Amino acid sequence: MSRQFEELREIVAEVLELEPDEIAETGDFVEQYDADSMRAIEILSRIEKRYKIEIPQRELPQMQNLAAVYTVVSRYAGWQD
Amino acid sequence: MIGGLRFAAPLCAVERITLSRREAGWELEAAKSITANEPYLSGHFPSFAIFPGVFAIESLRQAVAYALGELEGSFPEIVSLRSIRFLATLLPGDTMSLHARIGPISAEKSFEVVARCVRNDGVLAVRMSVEFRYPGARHA
Amino acid sequence: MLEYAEILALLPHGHPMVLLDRVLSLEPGVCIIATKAITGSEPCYCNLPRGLATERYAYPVPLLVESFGQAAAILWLETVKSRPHREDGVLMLAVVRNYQVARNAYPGDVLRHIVHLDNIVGDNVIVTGETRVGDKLVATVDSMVAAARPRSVILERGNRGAKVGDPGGPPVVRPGQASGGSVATRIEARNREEMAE
Repeated sequence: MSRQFEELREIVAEVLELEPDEIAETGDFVEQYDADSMRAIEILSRIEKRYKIEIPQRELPQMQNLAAVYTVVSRYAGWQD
Repeated sequence: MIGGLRFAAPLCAVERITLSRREAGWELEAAKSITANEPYLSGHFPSFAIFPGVFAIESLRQAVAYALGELEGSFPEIVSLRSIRFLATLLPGDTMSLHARIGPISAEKSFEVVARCVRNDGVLAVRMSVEFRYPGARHA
Repeated sequence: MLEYAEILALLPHGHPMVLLDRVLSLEPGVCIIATKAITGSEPCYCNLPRGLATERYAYPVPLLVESFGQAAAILWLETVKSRPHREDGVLMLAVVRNYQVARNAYPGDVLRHIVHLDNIVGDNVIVTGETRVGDKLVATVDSMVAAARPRSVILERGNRGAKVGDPGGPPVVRPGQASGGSVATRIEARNREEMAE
């Protein structure tokens, strides 16, 4: 797993108040980690600040698990796969 | 109100407190019926009343204080709001039930409380994780 | 600088729930410094029996949080003024992360909230900051999130947006099974045992 993927895992874990190793790649934030809607906004905000990018709120429905977050962020941050 | 307020408080924020001993700490249950004439509600907001979210924290504070009682003349105080999440609104006519798990009291007289407030229709309204301490504790 | 009358005009809150007296400085999009004077004649000090110790007059922490949150609300309102935003939105406190109380505040103290804007995501504002009395720290706020929601959504019953932690309706109140003696006496007894060793 790339460094950026692990960084995202850490951000997600912090927001969800879990340990990074508790976050599965395709674990749905709502279904699996009992996340309320504000958690997604907090995740998005921390990612924006960390990588100095802007992600429109309309991407939130596409950011429901770690792998999906990575996909969206790498697009806006211009990460190569 | 249980014996009347014994410390500054914006309102009487709990009714019907039950404390039960558990293996490492206590379980606390309390309720609050939200009425239209709560103190402060006329200003929150002037044209439509919403129970301020922070008053749920006050409900927890009062429930913990009255359930655990005084130590050397002092009630436990909030040291830190680790995590507070307001998930649904409470309006006059609603009843809020508070369910809290109180952890053991440390040598420094501090303890952790994790609590949920559930609205009378079953919706989870507030999640709280709060650190309390009896004052007068000496720090390391 | 904004005086109380101007704060009243900005916030949807009304007396006695306006917990700010003055805005000392405001940089839209960045920071606000606002004050609230604590006085013994405010509602939270009503109806207390006589003869209580000073510490019983500590300004309730939930009101400290609300006061700080209102400063954040003004910062947000002034920041979004010049951008498209929801006009019918009520700013509701949504999340508080790691709000640490350093010391209590008392009647006679003037709270000074320093609120920094961390980010705006849609109709949600994320702030960080601290509250002081003079140069003494009262509280630090790692993160506070407020969300502007349309009034109609807030007041709608049957709002099932939140996940329910436990199934079922309100709990049955169980009879207390507390062991004998108050918490205080149990701590004192343990302390005495430890000192005797």
